[in-house]
Amino acid sequence: MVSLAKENLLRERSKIALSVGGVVLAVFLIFATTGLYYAISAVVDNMVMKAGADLWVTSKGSSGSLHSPSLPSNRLASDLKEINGIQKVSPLIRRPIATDMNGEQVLVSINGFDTVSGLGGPWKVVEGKSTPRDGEAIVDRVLAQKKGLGIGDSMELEGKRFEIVGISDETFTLISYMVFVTLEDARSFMPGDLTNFFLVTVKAPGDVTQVKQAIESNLPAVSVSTSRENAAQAKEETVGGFLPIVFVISAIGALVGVLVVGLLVYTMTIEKSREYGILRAIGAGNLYLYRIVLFQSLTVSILGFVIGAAISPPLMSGMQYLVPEFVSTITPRMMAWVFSLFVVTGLVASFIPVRRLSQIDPAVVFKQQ
Amino acid sequence: MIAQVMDNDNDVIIDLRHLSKVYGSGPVAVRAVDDVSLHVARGEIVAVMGPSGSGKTTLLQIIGALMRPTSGEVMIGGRDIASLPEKALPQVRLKTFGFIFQTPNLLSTLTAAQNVEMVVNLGGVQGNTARNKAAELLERLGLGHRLSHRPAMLSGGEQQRVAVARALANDPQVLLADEPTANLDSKSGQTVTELLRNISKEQGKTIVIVSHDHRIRALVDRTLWLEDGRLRVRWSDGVTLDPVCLMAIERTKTPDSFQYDGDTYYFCSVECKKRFEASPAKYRELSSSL
Repeated sequence: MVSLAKENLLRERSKIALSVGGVVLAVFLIFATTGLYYAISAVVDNMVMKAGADLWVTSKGSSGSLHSPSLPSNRLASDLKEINGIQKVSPLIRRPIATDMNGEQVLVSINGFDTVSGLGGPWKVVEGKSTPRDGEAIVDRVLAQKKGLGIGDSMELEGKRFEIVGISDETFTLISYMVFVTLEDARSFMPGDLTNFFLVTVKAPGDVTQVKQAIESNLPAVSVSTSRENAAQAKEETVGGFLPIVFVISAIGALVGVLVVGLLVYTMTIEKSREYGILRAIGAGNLYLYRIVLFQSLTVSILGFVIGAAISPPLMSGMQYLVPEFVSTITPRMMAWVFSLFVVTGLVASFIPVRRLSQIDPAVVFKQQ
Repeated sequence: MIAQVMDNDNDVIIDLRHLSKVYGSGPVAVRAVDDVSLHVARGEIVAVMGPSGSGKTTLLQIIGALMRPTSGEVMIGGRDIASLPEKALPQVRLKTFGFIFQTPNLLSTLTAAQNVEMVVNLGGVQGNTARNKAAELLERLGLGHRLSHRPAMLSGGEQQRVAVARALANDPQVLLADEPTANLDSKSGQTVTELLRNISKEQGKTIVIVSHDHRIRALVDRTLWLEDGRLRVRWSDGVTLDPVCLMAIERTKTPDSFQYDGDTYYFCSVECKKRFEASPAKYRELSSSL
């Protein structure tokens, strides 16, 4: 079957290239923004899910895991150990500290974990060792890259010196960089014998709910949440506010796509209106003409998506190299979502010239060119 | 003006009944077509001539279902297409008519073959069958060596022949041609005109040609003169009436004549001649009463 839509597109290469370029930019914008949201969201999720705990125990009423006001006493550990079904109890200190680095105030999140159980420790160490000793620290990759820190260097936190022995990845939360130290070192940043959380593992994985209920009934002064609940809450507290921005930017990207593609198909319709008139005169129905526009619109949208999806990962890596804080990830699910978005974009854009198409008078064929 | 009316029979493909087209209203109303009645027989080539603004193209558009008349009936093959809903008209245009315009109006991004194939596709035939049909039509019109050429690479005459092939793509009963030779040099114009005549005679197509080109009269069966939206007989040009259907015909063009009672009668078709032979007195009386 002769595809007039395809032939028309092939003859308008420069115009198509510009329009596809516009769509590519829109695709990249959406990938970058959504990727940033996803990456940060994944970090927050990992901070909880990869801490290795089945249950998180906090002060009554406190929530989340990152900047929680939870300050239970260390003595709570022994109470927890007496509850049936509990395998391990590990304290975890997570405290934000603003520190001066090379003359710049930087917000780090001290992560003091039990190096024996390993619960709450770094989950992805890309360089050095994963278990610090007293006076040692594992620092976030983005912070290390930004401040030029490496294994063997030292850093100062509230007057206390640490030697850097490891670099961890996926530990930048957009607002702070995680630094992992021993529980003992972290205690020096806490008042009295207070901690932030107790990470609990259960003996049998199927007993999580039961153990949770047991803790709640035995220790009414605490709150207990599963890792999944805690992760959801942590994400809500940290990147929840960022989500509407992601949607707005994605919507702007999609709108830019609609306008770019719509403008192209509208312009092509105007330029080819005589030819559409010829088609109508010789018997083509409105649906046939609409299919031509739809094909052109979808082709440009999908082509823009394919190129955008192909160049976004290397482009984002390059940007990440230049700006370490630009942590962004593209997942297959995100690909599918953005693809759907640009199919819809193509569909919506194809409606822009519909009115114009239906107004083309087939009698135009009787006029001299 | 003459009203050319006869009983509807199988020989009549186009039957226009009191057709009028009025643009505007009130004192500024313009009657582009004014009470035109006309029969065109199957296989007949009719030229509609007349000065600019006489309503020729409007008449052609109405016949071709591209415009609706203000009043009257447009019977094509016994069906009034003026009363059909708008959405039914594209199919009528696609299947019943083939259009040839003053400018070839080919689609610039398609090759000669694709321009024809696309219309075959629109008619519901796809793939190799459509491709072969397009190639066959173009070869028949002497364009076998130009199949993959785009319009810009073809001469005006070649483009117009592609347009003729396109018009024949869905094997329509009627070809409507609007000034098909106007933009061509005399040689190309002659080629296209002869082509149309051959198509009509070989394939039995009915052709209505609107033209200013007087040379076309030599090739058509009948010439109609349209002036101020009305069909007029130019008696000075050797025009007479078919005594049966009362159609204005040119004596030199009709192959059917009959001697009766010392007079020669001319007919638009064998059918009319047969009717006259059956009851000559009746029809002689009718025609002499006019």
